[in-house]
Amino acid sequence: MVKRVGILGAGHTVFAERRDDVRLEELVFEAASAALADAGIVRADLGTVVMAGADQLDGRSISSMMTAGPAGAYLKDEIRTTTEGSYAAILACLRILSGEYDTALAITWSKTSESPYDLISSLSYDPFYLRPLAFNDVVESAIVSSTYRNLTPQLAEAAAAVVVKNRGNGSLNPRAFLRERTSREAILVSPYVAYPIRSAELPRSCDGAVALVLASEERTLSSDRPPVWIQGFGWGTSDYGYKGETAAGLAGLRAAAASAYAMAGVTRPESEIDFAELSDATPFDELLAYEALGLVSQGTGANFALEGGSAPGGSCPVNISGGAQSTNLRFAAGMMRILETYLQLGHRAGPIQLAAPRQGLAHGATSYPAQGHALFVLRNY
Amino acid sequence: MPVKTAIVGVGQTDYRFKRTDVTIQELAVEASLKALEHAGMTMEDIDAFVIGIAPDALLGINAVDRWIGEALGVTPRPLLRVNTGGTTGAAAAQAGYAHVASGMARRVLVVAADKVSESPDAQWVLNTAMDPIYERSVALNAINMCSFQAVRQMDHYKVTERQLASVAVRSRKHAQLNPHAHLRAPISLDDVLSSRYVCWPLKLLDCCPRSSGACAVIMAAEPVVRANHSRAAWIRGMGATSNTIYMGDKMGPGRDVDHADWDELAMAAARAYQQAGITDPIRQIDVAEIYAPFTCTEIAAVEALGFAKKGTGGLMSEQGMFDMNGALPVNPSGGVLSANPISATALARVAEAALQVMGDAGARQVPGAHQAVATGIGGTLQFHTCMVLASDT
Amino acid sequence: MGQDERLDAPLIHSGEWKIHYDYAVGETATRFFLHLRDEGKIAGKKCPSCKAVLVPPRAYCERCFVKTEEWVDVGPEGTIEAFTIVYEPFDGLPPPPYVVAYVTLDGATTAMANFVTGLDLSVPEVAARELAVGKRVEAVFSDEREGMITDFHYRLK
Repeated sequence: MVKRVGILGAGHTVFAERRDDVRLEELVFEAASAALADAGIVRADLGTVVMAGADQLDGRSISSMMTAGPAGAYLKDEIRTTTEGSYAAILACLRILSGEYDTALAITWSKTSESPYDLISSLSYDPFYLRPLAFNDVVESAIVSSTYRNLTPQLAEAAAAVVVKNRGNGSLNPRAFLRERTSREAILVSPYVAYPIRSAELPRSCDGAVALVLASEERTLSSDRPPVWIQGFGWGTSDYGYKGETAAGLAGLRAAAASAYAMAGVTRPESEIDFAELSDATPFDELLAYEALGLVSQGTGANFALEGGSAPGGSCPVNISGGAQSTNLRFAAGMMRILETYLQLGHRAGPIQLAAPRQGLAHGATSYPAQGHALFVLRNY
Repeated sequence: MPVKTAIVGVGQTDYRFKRTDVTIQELAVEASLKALEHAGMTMEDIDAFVIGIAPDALLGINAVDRWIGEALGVTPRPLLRVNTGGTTGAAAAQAGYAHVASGMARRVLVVAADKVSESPDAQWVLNTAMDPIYERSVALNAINMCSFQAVRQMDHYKVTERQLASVAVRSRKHAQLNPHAHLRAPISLDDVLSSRYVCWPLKLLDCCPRSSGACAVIMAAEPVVRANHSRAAWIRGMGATSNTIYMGDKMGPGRDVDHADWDELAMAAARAYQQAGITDPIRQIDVAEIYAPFTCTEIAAVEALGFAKKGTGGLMSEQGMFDMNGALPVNPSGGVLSANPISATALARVAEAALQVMGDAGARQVPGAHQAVATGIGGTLQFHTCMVLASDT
Repeated sequence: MGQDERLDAPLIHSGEWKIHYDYAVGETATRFFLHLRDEGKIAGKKCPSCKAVLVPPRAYCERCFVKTEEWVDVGPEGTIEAFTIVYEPFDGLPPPPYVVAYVTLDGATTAMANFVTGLDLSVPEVAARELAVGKRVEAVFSDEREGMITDFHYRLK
């Protein structure tokens, strides 16, 4: 019987288009110290530090060499994944559930104002087959999205609706980077970056870092604050390059959901999940996820968005925080989804607080190729 | 209670300077298939994958684990990449352990691979791991950071260049027993002492080679092991300790740890030993696989592991304590001085330790080895890992 | 496809990474570099908890996990803690031979790396004796300073 992991606290930095006032390491310190303070523990009491960082984006060939200290790992146990921000939480959960450590700081960061994101994305493709074909993150995302488009003619409208919804949500969230609404018209007149993805559907990125303090079930129950649990989690991997995976696919996310739901005992996600924070690097990602996560039935994701099902007040509000459309932390976006879900369930989300949420989803996704998906079921009971 | 976890399969390619006959994908698959064969499994049996790759820049592909995952047929299963510099392979093994011990997976493949020959000079890449603001432009790299250690050992403990050389001579002698080793030609003390200075006081033969190759291990949960495997390397203890990147913080008057020493490894080992019930390491440990890319680093490691008092590791090496027939054989594989496929190097230490306690180490087998220790080192001698493996739980 | 002797020389596709970064130095290091450039002085930051004077300055103390506030001038003289003489050429790094040393500047708790100049490096053993741990050096500042760590180097006293 696998136990569950609790969240003791969370912290994040100020988000800005450029954080030139701090070097990367100082950004990491800002989030780590905020999380420890929020959790009410001091560094000396911390069991392990689990980091997620990406060397090429960080401009440091083994960036954890520099960030281990400011993340709190001085003379402590520490490990680093490079998969995606939220995978730090996966690895931290594994380490706590294996009984190795009672508490873990999971931390990730993204300071892409210093690096050329699109170029680095293209370098992720193998040098023989795909890199010569000008593949990058957006191009592959567009190819996958195009398969969905064939299935549902109203997709362009639904994608615009997702962006309008998330940016509207973000306008009310004091933590968000972009706090300005946008309109359907502004999106639908913006030029295509890679058909069917339009420029206004790709959010401006920002600099920032996010950290969570995770703990064993016993340690969490000894905390003064009402507990919020990672009741289930899972992670999976989709195909490398486009191999005919249609919108109905998202094999990696489906596998992640199967694991997370089984662990949390979720059998009917469409009714048991009160809200979700999903990867929305493009609005198509969010639409695809509705279906892969079983929040709606196959082929109805676009309608769900157009009818307001994922809007505030809908049957399953999605990205009530504004999502990555409002706070595009690139590599660290998935961890931000966990943080916002955690704050909702702890009734600490501020002006965007939902009335009585009990169970929510947080989803992190790597960039392409071979998109990795991490899914967390959080609950407060 | 954690699920008891063991290594049940090990696969290593030969370590060579170049492997132009294969891509990095094919190299990782080559080691993985060997590990599956050793474990009597197929890729379909694997629940989750951990890939250990150190800097992508050495391979010229960003997030190269995604491409390697394709070749392993990962989809839609879990894949997580670990990168902690030199310790990458050992950290990947610790992550693999967490997958099984947590109960989240029953069979995990941990694989690490490198083709260091595809980038012209690793030291340039490793320079870009240093602080871009304070330290990169003073030409720090992975060799001179060890020179700083050697200089302080010579100052604090009167370690001699001859003691350093004894480590290299023994490593090459052992490498002759290991068909996977990259450098297998025997060398003499005079060969080492007369080789040219690279970064004083380290000479060419004090330094590891640059290698290409891959290593894979398969970990399984106790019920799987009991049902299917007659022998296994049980993970009985582990620890990891990180320190600051700034070597200068380990030198001034206010230091907690001296750059000459590996007190961080001693801390990691203390945890691993405590979990494994080791109180007398020389007596209770039969063989050690130490990640020592330069001769001076092995001296620091044997002291940190409790095999020699601080300041005497060099002397003990010179006197033969760590030879195959010595009191505590160190690096029967030939160690890192005989093969250094960077991403895979620390996993190879775990793999070799596992082979020893499984009794599958061939000509380099330490007779009757029951308990082994494997270590990892990374960053500016700042990341340390330790794992204890044994033939029973 | 059977035996093919062309496989004796498998194809190599060349590639090159050229990634430009704009490293934000941050306010703490900016102040250090401007002090170095404009006043020709080296400053560290003091941890309010353990009182360590961190050189080069850090905005936080990794050990105590608190922000540092107080600035302290250190040096210009100091003591060699470790050094190496590089004799091997490496891609992208300076032509050898050259000396890199860690020096604890007077008043600092930690050592800082830089080049040591002004030595004859032609015989390694002779040069190494000149550079022993514990030897005194001083920081020598360039006339044309750009606000970089290489605006100064060490020289034996």
